[in-house]
Amino acid sequence: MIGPVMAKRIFQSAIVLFLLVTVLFFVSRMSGDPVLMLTEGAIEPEEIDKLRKAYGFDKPLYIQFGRFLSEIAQGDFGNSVRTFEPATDMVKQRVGISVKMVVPAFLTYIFLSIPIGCLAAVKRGAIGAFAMVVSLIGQSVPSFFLGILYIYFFAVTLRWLPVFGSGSWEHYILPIATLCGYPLAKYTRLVRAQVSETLTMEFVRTARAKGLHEVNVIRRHVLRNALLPVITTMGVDVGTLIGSALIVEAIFAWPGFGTLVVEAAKTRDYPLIQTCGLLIGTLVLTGSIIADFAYGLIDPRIRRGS
Amino acid sequence: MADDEKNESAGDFGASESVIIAAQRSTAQKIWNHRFVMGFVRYPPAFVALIIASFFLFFALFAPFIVSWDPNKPVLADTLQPPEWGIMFNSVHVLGTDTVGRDIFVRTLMGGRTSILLGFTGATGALSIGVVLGMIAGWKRGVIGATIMRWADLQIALPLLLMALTVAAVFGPGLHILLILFSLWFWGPYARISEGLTLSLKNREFVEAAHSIGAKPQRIVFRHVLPHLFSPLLVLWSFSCAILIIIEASLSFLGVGIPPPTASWGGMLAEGRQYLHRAYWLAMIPGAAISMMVWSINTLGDRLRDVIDQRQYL
Repeated sequence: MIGPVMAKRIFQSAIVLFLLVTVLFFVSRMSGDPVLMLTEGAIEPEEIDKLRKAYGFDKPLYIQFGRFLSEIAQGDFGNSVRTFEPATDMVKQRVGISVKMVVPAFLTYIFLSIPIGCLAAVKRGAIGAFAMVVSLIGQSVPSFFLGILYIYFFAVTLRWLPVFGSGSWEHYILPIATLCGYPLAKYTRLVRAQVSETLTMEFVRTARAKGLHEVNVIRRHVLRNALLPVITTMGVDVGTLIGSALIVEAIFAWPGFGTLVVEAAKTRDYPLIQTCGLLIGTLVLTGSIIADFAYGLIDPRIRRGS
Repeated sequence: MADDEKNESAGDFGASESVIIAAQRSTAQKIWNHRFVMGFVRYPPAFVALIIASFFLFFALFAPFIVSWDPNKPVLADTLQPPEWGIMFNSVHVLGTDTVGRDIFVRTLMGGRTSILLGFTGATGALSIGVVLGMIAGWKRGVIGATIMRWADLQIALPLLLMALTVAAVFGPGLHILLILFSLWFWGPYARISEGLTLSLKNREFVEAAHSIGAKPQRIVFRHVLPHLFSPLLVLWSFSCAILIIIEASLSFLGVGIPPPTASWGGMLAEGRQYLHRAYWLAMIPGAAISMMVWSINTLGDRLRDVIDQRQYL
């Protein structure tokens, strides 16, 4: 059942998605005549008019925008300027490759950051301090430098792992470790902050007073409350994850979705980049709706809309 | 916080009271300033961070007036020289040279210039836009508020790095475009904080007091609400400088940022990546520089938050 709170969230997301379509459309039209941009000026003057008519660029902007919207509604996102393939096909093909890297990385940092963050909050002193110093450094090293450090140590100096290509499971280790770096550090810090704050609450004292084992206190009383903001942040961070996947793909020459976005940007292939932008926007908005939904599952107070 | 509010609300009343309050405030200010400075100096990581950040900031601002060396001019006789630590002060190239013989040390200092200046000005531009829009949204609510907040949500839906790629696809790379984009596509977090705080401050007594003596909404918002937003916004500003520095470097790394031969941290890293097996310093030095700068800003931001929190218990 979808409560009124969720219905409102979904409605708001739909508005944001519409704004995104609008921005992408107008940004691509702001740079001047699309025909000149597509052909890069290498075209006869009389041909320009023909092309303009053929693509509908001679019509007023609002009619073009209407057509753009109706095409999107029908699932037609236009063709790539370079390869003339439908943009959706190109995107579909590349997303599959990226998923193989992003999903394991996502699972890795979730299942590592929660226990480490908890441990750092519960065991103050040397262990906690060490975890915090490492995570602050981890948060400061940009992913493109982290990837290069990994390559230098594990592939160039020690020769333990391969850098480029795909095939064996070994090819996945360095990209996934690079992609995990920043979120692992960030979530460890966040979990630690939340857990240590929740530990001071009165219901924790009650739980301990009634003789509950410390592990159960943490698992059933502290974590349930402490993880709420962590889940929201994860939902919002889908965009950041896609952004870092893009850089990691560039470092390891991984022919995924991120590489496609960078290629599209470099070759100024704007129908393709519009499609990518819309896909990213949809993923991020869906991510934050799912996070809100999960929030409701964990916390009944929110589900009831109070 | 509590003290300030009392002063704010009392400030609009009798003159004698305001003199006493002003005296109190200046003493409080002195203690605060003192604690503020000491808060940084006494915490060793923050002190180190302050030195590193000032070092890079200093060179970002003044490098062109100090360094007589052209960082972009190739010297083909000196290609790929390793760093010479042993004779540090006699060495010509302390941190080695790159593939066309340009000095890495000079290029690293100059390369920070674009990232740092773009990060700081971009964050400041975003701050100004976000605060004004956020306060309007918090004050007005209704259709205007909702519209502003949906535009803020849009910036989460298409994160800055990806928006920058889109814009680069349309306009091509350029410094001015990046600066405009950083301001226009990064004000969301500021707006969200300002909106929330304005909303909660709106019903406080000092706002009511200002309202009852006939102050206009603009005056109330800028003179009475804005000062309360100062600390959280300052903390957010410091963190967003770090984020923008990383984003600029990422764009240069991907080859859609500042075009070569201008030195930039991201560009130097992208170049050095290809020579890891022969000349590690090409990538390690700019990478270490950007990590140190970002670590310094993050540490200072963390410390700033702690020091400001302490002030609330004063």
